[in-house]
Amino acid sequence: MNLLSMASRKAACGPATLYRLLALLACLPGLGGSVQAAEGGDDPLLHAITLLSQNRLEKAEAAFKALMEDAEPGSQRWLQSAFGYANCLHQLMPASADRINRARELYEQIHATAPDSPIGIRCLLLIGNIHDWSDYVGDEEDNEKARPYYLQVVEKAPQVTVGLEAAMRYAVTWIELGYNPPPEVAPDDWETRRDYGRKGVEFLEAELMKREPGPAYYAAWEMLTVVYRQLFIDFQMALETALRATGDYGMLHGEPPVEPKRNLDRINPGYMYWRIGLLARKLGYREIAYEYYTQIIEEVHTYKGAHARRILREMGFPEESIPPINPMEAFQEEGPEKKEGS
Amino acid sequence: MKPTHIALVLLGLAYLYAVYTQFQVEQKTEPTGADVINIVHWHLEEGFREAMEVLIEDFEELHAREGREVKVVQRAIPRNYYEPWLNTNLVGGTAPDLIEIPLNWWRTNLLLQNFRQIDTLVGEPNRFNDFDYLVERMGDLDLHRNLSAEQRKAYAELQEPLLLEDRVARFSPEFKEWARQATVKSTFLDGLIGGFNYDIAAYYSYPISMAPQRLFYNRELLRQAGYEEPPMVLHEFFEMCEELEKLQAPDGNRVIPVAAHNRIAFTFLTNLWARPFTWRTAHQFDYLLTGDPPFSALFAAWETGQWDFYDPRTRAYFQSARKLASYFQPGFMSMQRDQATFAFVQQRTAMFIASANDAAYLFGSTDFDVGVTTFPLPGPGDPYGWDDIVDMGIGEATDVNGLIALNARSEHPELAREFAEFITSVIWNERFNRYARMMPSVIGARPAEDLMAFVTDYEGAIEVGLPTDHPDYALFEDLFLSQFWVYVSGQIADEERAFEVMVREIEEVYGDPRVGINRMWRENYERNIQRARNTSAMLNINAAVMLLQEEPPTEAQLKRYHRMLMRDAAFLGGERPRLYHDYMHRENPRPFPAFQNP
Repeated sequence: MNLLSMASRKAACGPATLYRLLALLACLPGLGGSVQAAEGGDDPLLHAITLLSQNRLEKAEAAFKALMEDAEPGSQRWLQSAFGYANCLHQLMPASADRINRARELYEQIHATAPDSPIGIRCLLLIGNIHDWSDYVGDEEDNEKARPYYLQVVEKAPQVTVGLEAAMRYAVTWIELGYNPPPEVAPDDWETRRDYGRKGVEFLEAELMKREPGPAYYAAWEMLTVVYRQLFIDFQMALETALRATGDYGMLHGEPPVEPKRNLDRINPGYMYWRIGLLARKLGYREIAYEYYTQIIEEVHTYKGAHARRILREMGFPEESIPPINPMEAFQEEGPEKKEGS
Repeated sequence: MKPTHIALVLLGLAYLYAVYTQFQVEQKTEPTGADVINIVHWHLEEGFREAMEVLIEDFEELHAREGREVKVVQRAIPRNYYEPWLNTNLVGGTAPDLIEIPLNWWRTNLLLQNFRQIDTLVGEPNRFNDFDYLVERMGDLDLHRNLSAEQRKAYAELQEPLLLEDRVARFSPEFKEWARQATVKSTFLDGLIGGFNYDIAAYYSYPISMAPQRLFYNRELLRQAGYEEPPMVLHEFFEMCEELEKLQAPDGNRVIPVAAHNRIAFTFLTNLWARPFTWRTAHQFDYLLTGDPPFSALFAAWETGQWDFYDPRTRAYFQSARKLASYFQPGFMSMQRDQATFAFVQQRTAMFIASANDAAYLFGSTDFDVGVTTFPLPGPGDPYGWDDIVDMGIGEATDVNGLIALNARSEHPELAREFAEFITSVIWNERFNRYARMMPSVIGARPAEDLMAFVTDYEGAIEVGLPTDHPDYALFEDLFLSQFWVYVSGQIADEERAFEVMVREIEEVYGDPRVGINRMWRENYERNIQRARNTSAMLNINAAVMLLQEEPPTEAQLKRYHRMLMRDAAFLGGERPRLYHDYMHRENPRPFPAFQNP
């Protein structure tokens, strides 16, 4: 059926359909817009970086490739464009063996050219990442090959975030064997599965103890909470690591709560608060449970707040100690009262 | 002239009119020295566009007073054509600066490539919630200037504030201080969950209203049945329905107690109504301890015998849903919205399940007095014992509407952000929703007086503890719906028999190794690996950009990097479903089904 006959039929269907058709036709002039140039001004490198930041990888790849080919090998310009190009080859889906191998070669070249530069160090991590993941059909994950790369990054950048990122990735290569054991391990052989996980957890905890707190530090503790809860089914350690993730570890020893909480999950829908509240309640840490359920009510403002209020009531906290679900109830002089009927 | 020719002429005229209309819109966007931003949405219903125009005028006025000429152009595209239109314009780079996106829109790549992440923005205060600043700039703004003479009179009788400064004066000092300092995120009634994308772990949109469902009722018919309003206790509500069925409608037929149409009946019966009955089941299997139990949990619970359809809460939910649906008009599963509305307006039905967005039409187009109330729940003396099961109401905290996202390639990104914050500030969210006759989405914004019955209920449950739907495996939802409709329709008169048939049909599929839960695990696992891979890629791209750019990373970039790092780590290579599966089957763990070839 051609467009005209289809349109005629639609037009004969009635006013509502005709109106929709009109609106569709009204949209047509907007269909053929031209592609807007990405920001970045006259500098082609800046243009390529902008494309990368916008996740427009195909265009970014072409731009970085052209820059790399024009740049003198080994120059700063070459390092930057080769790094951008390799990242596009690595991340653009669907991946293929050729593209991934080319990305790995480039990462190796960049690292060889500038081994101690931030870009060079990141290249090591990305080579580990390539071994760590199955990127295309037939590509096998190879944790054994990935680990030395991650360890090199940990050694080269002990106090830099990328070092902690590498430590987390290294730990995950062990922990995920607990989650998904190799074929020779029976699925019900939990001891072996947990042994794998323990290697990762112990390594990461030792790394964290050496480091100053910061966003990645708190993120790593948060990850360990998940592992203690899921793989080890160890509620006490899950709670302790969760409190380290929020900065409230001292509460276990009678210290006052910190404000604001440190964990990165703050912006998420209160997962960590919920987890801590629940674990603390289960393990009998009444004050910690109160602190975190209150935090949910005051910060999350959703149905979780309603549940938190219910739980605090069930725990026997007096009504006056339970905050209202949103400040409107407390503050606004003329807040809407719920009425039945209009 | 043949009918075909008439149609062609009409079509030609229609096209010319459409082009002319479009030309007018384009003309508004032509450069005039003003900074122009565009907003697109799909709301053609009465009130929405007019309310948006009111806001646009205020926004332009505010900027004019600050010495800047700003123009905002709105465009409404019908819902049916919205996504193709949007995709085309996003690809073409011609999409507007502010774009309405659907709720739970899982078009992750489109979001990543075309929309601005607003995590950092929503972590800052909204400057339009600084009431001192507003009064200084706009204190004399006549809030009634867009109203008809009749409306102005009515508002005067209600002693509604006339000027912006009068409205501000009604807030308590504590509220003003809170609003001034509060982050954008924390000012939303839903805590901005509606604007959060779980796949990317980032915020992308601002909801501009809430859309809770309610029971509208015909006061005249209820009075004839001996009631002033519907009882809030379920068994008394059923008794009222019996009385209503004895009445004669104007068309000579018996009155039908409740009207509902297919879309809303589906949401109401399978989701809203299930919440108070089954939320505890959902929490029972929250092994991740997030408060948002994973979908796979309940399927695993069924698979391992930890839960079944004969669980008392589940059984009570199904029985009550069927009993309730027995008072709906016959064929409601295939009834369109217009048909159901018509039945209510024609007084053939006494009540109507509809959303807050339908209120303006229903209040304005009926010859009888319309009341609105929440849904009844089991209460003391319930003959079925359901009152022992239901201990929370139907929660509505997440029922948001109108999600506005920012185009990442906007030529005026800050202006676009300002408009999004303007429409979600306390004063203007109230103003917009009162005009549009919808429910505000931010704390402190009051709805119109006759919509007070729609004020969101936070104290209810929103979780559904039924293994009937999995986002990674659509087959189950289709299966459940087809069987559920047969069950609630009463085609099989005996309830127990109907329930047995439904459960047997569902369980037969669940247990099938090719298409059942075994397959669901595989799909879930593969999707999770994909999500983990995508997260890792996003983290690497983010890190690469920070290393390549000349200037040091911005705070926003660092925050995003750390969040992606956390998300990447928590995925644990995407292997979580596997552990989860084995954990749920720990008495008898089997090789993960993903690796079996059924």
